Amino acid sequence: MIIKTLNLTKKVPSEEGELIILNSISLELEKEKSIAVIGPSGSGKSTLLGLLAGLDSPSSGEIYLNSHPLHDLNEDQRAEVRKENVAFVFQSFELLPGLTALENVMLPSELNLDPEAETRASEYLKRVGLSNRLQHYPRQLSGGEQQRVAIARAFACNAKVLFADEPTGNLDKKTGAKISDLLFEVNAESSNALVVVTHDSDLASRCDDQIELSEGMTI
Amino acid sequence: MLFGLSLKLFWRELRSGQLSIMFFALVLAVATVSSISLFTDRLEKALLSETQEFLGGDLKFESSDLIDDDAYEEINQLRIKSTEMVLFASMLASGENLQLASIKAVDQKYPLVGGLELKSGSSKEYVKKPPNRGYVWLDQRLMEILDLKIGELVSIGDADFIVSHTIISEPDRATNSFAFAPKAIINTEDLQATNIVQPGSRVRFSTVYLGTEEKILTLKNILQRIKQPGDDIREAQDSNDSLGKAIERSGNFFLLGGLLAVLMAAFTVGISSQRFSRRHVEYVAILKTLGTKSWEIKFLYSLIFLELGIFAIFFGLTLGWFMQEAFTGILKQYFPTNLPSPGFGPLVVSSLTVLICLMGFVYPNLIKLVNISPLNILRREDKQNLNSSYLMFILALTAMFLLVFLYTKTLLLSSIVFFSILGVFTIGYGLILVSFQSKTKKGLGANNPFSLAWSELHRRKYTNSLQVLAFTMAIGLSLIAFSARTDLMSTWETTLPEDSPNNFLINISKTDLNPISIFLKNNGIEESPFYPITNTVILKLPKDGETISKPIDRNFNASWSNKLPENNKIISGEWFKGNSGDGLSISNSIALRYQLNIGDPVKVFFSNNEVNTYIQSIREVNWDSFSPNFFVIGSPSIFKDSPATYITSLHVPREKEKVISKFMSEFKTVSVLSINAIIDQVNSIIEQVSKALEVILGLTIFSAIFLTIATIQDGFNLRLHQSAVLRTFGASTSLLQKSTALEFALLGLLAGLLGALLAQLGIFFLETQVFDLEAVFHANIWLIGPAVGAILICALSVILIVSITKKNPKEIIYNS
Repeated sequence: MIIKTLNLTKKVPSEEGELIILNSISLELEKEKSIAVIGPSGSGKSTLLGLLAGLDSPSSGEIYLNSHPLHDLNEDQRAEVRKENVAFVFQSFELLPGLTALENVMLPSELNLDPEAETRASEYLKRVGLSNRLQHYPRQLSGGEQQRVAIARAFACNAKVLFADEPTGNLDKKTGAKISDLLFEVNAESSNALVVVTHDSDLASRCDDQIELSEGMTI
Repeated sequence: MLFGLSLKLFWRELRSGQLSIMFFALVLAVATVSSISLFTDRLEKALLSETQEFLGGDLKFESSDLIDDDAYEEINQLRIKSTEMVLFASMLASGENLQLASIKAVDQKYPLVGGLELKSGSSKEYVKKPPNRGYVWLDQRLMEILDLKIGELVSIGDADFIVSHTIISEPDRATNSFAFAPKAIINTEDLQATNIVQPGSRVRFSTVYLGTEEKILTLKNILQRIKQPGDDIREAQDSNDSLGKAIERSGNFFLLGGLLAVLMAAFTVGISSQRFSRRHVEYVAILKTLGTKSWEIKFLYSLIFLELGIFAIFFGLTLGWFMQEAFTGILKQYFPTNLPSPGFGPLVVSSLTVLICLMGFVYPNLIKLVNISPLNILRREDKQNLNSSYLMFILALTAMFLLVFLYTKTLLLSSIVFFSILGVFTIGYGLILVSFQSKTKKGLGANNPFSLAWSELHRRKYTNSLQVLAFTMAIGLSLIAFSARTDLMSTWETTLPEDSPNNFLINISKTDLNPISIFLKNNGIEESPFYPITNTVILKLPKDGETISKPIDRNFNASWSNKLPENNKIISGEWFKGNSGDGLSISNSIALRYQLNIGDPVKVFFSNNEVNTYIQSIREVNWDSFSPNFFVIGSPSIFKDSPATYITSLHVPREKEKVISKFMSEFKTVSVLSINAIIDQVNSIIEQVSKALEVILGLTIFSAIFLTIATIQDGFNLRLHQSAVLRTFGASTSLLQKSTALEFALLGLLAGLLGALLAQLGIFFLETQVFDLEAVFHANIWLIGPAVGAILICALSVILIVSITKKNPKEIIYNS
């Protein structure tokens, strides 16, 4: 089991009192499997992704990522877990504007002190079809190309779990389909587990499992 | 509608703290400008009144003869206030005691300005009238020498007078003939009874006038026309006394401190407004997509900044008023009367400061904000373009120069500050670009703090260089303020060393020289050189075919010596060689006033002698030195036949002051002038100015901190997103904090070095050009600048990076 949660709850303070974003979510994900988190806007999908990836801490409940009890760890300890286990693809790509495509892809490997960071980044950029864009800066790339760089970055670090938050949300349908294909192809080659938050029913249907959220609860 | 929206946005921004730095920087700028301008305005007005008192009026004419009837009538028609005095030296007698004194007989209109501080018994009085008939006012020293008490009789010539008061201070004292002798003041109506003033007596007739600038100019023309050799015309602005200079210098110190604070506040406003604009690009993009026109957006944001400016002016002026009241409180004791009320000028200057700050540092950002393409912004493609442009650069430079000029009203000081900053900025910018130009390694170097910091320094060289320049400004200007408080002040203080001469011996005859030397030696008082003096008239001779535009026809107390006196420096020509070919050495002020150059032929008249000679050298004279100084020094070969009296200065320790009374009893014909009171006053002003400067230094430091925080904050906005992405991929907070600390420590070190260079340059020009001090190398600022730069900027960056790394990276990414 690569991910396991038990009664995962997230509350945030608000002017009207405490607001429950996620309410007692329990789920499990096997290694090399994929799961889609679907639901309407405001249902708590991105919050769940953040908690599963160790970007945030729960108000109550337990989360285990590759057997690490994230609910018991502080931010630095969670960062260490993320470094070794987690990769991300965001809706808005989140590439660093001052770095070239190659340097953006090298980033997670550098953090893992990988001496082969540059070679690996180069290979993955070739894999996503951007061998001629290595030295381009994000502003010189189209939205689809930027998301491909983000996918290359996610896979280049040999993570155990790839978290993708609306990976096709900012792209047109045709480009979105291509990115979706690429995501599943590369994921299959890397034997990663995949957690996808999406509104896209086509993308969700390609996952091994689906979990639907409504008002912070699973349906 | 736009006005309402602008108010709403302004309040929201102010309450959320997003405008805080800009608001405080503007308030600080206005408070600094207004407090110092208000104060220096009052100081200048007080100085004018002081110089009038120093002279006794606006213009003084002194002659050995009465003004002829025609001229007298002409002057009368000007309907100008005047008072007439008769000045002469005479022996005062009380019982067995005799003493030579300077007598001043004054008319009913005396004094024209100010008043006399008198003492009768234990009570002090401030009077604005002459002594009553039959009464005399005496110096304390005369009272002691003649062993007199209030109410006792003293004889002047054939008349007896009752001593009613001792004189503590009087207007016009130091500019009178015979002023060096102890003073007695009587009423003119008693003059005839003394039988002293007879045809042929050595008497000076002095008239002091007070009037409008125009009338004084007309009067001066009349007096110039009737002026005979030996007559003297003096105006209030000719005053060159140490006290006036001390007060004027303190004004310069205040001005400098304030100027630095204002410049830093202006830069803070610029940097903060850039950050403000960056935060508002999405807002403007949305307004544009909703159909708001560009001019409406420009108007909306102009209104927001106008509201900010009005608030800043209001709070700044209030704060400034209280501050100037505090400064006035510190220094008012040095003025005999209350400081005059300030004019409206400083308030206008303060408001203009805000306007210039907004136009020069905010408006360019506003233009760029309004010109953004909404499509690019909503697609998040164009934020980078908000960073800088030539327009911003040119407007900021223009605004900076305008601010400096508006504040100092001195082209020299403005240019010094402006070009020093510009020069150091150019050096700094070039240095950073060259140092971090090449980058051999790919990637962010995120595997350890050193390589990450090094990579960031290369990658961000353009934004870093702008940050370094802002830090340089903060550090450099703070160092100048610090140096002004410490080094410049102590340099100023050392111009008045502990053992400065505090007594002058005047009217010494040649036969007294040896006995005085013996007396001084026996009483443990160090002897200084004795300078011969004779009264001369110097006439500039025309060279071939030349007409003299500025004839010299005034008297000089000239001296002669083979040795260049201390505190004198030859700036042109050469000192006497000790042979018959030697000529005259004149002070640079005389050379300038009478357009005299090296080699110019002159004729010197002295005691029935006429000698044709030339200007051999021009000297810079330190008039602050409290030593005998001379406008004209001749070669001994010229004056070998001249009769002379001698002058010297002495440092008499306070505990030996009684020796002076003993000296006066022993050498009755020698006059002793004590300047202890003036020295005390100057020292006291220096001390008080340094206290007030601490307040200014505080303001400058505050401005520097605002500027540094604004700069770091601006830079960290760009880092916020990067740190979130790095942390998402597992970077530890420790890695980010350490690399940031290292990066900013290095930037701080660099800024500290450049700041020290800026400060050294600035101080050099201030010392030599503004404060008339000797330039020195300030080693301390080369240590303090880099050390404070590295530590302070590193510490501030750590505080900010810690606050950033405390934030949830998910929140930053999802909200950016």
